[in-house]
Amino acid sequence: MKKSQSVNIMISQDQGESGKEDSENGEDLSSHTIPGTSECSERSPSVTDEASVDCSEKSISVQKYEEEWEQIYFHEDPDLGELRRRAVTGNLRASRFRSVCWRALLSVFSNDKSSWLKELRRFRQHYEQMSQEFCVDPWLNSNPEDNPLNQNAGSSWHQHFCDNELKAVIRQDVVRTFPGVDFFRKETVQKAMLNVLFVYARENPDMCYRQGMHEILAPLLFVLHCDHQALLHTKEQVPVSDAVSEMLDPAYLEADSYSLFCLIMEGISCYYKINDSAPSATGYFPPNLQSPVPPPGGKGKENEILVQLESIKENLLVPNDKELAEYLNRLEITLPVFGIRWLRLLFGREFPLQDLLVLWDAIFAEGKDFGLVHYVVVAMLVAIRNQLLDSDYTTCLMHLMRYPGAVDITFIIEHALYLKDHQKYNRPVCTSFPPLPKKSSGQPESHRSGHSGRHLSTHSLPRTKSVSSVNRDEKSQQRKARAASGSSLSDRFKNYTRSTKSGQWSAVKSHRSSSVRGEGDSNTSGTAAGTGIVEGFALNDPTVIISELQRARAVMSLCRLKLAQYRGILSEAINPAEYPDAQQALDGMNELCSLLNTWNHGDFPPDVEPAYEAGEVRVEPSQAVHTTAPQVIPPRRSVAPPNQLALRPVAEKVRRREAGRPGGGAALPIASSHSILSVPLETFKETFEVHMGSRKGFPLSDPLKSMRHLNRNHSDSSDDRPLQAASFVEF
Amino acid sequence: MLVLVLGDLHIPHRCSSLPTKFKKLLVPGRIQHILCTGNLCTKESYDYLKTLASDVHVVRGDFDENLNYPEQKVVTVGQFRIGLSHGHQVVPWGDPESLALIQRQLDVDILISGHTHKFEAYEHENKFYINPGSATGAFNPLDTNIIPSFVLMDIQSSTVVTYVYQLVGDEVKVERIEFKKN
Repeated sequence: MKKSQSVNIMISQDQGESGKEDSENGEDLSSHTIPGTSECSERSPSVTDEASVDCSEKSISVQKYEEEWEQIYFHEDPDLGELRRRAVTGNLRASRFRSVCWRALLSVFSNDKSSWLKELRRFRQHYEQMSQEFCVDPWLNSNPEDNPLNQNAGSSWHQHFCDNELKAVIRQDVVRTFPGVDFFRKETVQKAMLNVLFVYARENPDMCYRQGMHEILAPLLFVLHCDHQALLHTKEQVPVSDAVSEMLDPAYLEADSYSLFCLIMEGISCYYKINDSAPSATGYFPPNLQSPVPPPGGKGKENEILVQLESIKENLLVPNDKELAEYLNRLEITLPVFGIRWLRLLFGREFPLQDLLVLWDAIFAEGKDFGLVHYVVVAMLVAIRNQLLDSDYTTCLMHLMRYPGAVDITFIIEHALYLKDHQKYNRPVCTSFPPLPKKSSGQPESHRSGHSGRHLSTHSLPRTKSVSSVNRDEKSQQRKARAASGSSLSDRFKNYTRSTKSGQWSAVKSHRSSSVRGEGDSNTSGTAAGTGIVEGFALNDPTVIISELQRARAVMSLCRLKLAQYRGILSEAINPAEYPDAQQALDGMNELCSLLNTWNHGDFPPDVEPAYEAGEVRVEPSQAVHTTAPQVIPPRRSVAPPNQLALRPVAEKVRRREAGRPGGGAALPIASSHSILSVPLETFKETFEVHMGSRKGFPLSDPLKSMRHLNRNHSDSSDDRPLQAASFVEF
Repeated sequence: MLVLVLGDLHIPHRCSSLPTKFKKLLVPGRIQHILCTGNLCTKESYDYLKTLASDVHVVRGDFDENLNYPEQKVVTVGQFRIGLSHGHQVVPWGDPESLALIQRQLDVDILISGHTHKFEAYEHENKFYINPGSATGAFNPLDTNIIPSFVLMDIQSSTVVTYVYQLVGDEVKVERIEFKKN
């Protein structure tokens, strides 16, 4: 069982830290399990009795509570590496100590777990002190010299009125935080937010209060509240250790959120600074400096955030995705338009609350300097690059201002991490990325040849020629070459999925010509590795779509074959009586087979009869024809010029073809003029031009005349109808 | 709760406007109520007072152009009943006994009157009498030396702290008087 296994593994670790931890809270650690897997362990029934199952489950969850608390910090891990790793991979989503983790990651607490409580108390005291200090009541501490209309800086009355103004401004924003979430409509919560923001503004007069800070504070309060709830819930059932109770004491919601908020603001203070303004002595900015519009003077005093956005664009976006950067430039969409909000709110408005918390886990885990934020910006842009590249100015802006909700947050996090540190993190596996149509290698080979039939040239990320990715490309190329010799299904699929995903994920350099080149090189890994492969594709190219569909069909047939094969093997091996589940699985496989079976029928795509004009004669390519000019591409249809009056045979043919076609009847008289011998359109055009060329000064504007003239060359008919047909066809 | 008490502006007949220093002190947003003893005289002054606070009470003075102001008014602020009258009805002008008559008539804790253009704030028989003087320093036929003044009352439950602002020379002088209700 899982539990026992984990006990075995963890016991050795226990030896190391039990000494320290026991002194902390005297719990005995029976087993460690990662919180995410706690549900699995809970599912394993330990006792048959229902009541005690209940009890034991409850106590399991409570026990897990304490263990989770322990797990936050291993004393042999001074840099909180394990915690950071968990945060980055999104494992903190279900954590009941998220606020503590955040504080640990942001170094609100030092790295020594035993001193956490001391520091906590210190912070709380500090906050109390501050709020007392700033709560200036002129009636209580009235200076006899002071008067209510006093506007000098030292006057407590003046301070009082300024504070009121500041509080009014803060309150305006606070009541509008997260309109959809009920938690923030509660009066207590709003009051807490107001207090925290006010104390922060007074304690940091150079930052004061700017719009946006409330959105940073809101998730902090939420997380703390959740942790408090978890604590209270656990407390109901089982006594919780003092340390934990004190750490998550709900009475100190404001103080704890204040300490977190201060730390975060330190990291992102650069986004809120305006260079050329200093707050008034009482600690708030004059109201006309709310928005960081760059001064018309230009370069002289630029806001810090604009500088940063500029650097993001130049140093991160352009190297990673030149096309997108150029496209945005072309549309004149500058980063500050949406970037200011992204940075100032730490993406608070771009993602739903739960996703946002996961994102913040990762950002905080990466360090106090919030270095990951820039990369997240780029990752977000690249994640929706297809939608952006496809849209015009207004749609682009709409996407950027209201970030589409369909994007996977883990993908963005992974990508940002990868951008930040290529060595440490892998290129993310794309999950919700719309597939880019790819140029395939000519005719798709059938699945029986053992190839998936498609040249999926892998490539490196645009312009990042890191050694690892090129090596990866080479390896997968080689693997594909080997696949030609009939490798196993799994290998083929691995190649397919790996190259598809990396292919999808690449930014595109529009090289239509290279796709032609790529077609020729389907198996030569040499050229692929050397030139830094580029994937070219043509959007909406019918041939591409067709080949893609054919490939899909090939894959599905492969699936069906193999599934049938495995089903046969398994049905022989397994005795259905022993394992009813296995029987179900086999039935499922049967169903899948039959489902996939339908795709095998017929040709795909089904032949669509090509449209042709009324009066045209369908010409098979094999019949082509005596032409006076070389044919570039044999069209499947051709237009017959009105060169002859051959009524009957053509009329019969046409009637047969157009039985039931709307407007077929009307076409008859026109069709009568067509000859059996059809000439391709190009040729017709050529001859026409030749004729026209030889007649100098011939009025081309009169088609009737010209046609009539032309007709005289080919036929003896002077009928009006051929003219109509020609004009219909030609013009 | 801050209440501004002023009057006898006589704008534009005797003075053109409030002194600049007074204007600087009077910023909107701090004062909740304004009690004006009258003789504004025109609507412009009234509008100006309206910008300082939304709750403005004016009583009719002998030079007011608006004939619709009441002669007397009683306003309750906190625990205090405040009576407001211009004072030209009271003969002799500014006489404590005669004002006490008005106070008993109106049954108020604080009586505010004007017309003398002279600041007064005294307690008489356990009732408080305030005369804010003339905010512009407009002349009085009986007295040529008028000091511009106005009064700000800070009413807190049963205590009134009165701040008197006077423009002496070029400086604003502030005095503080406290009055407690029994």
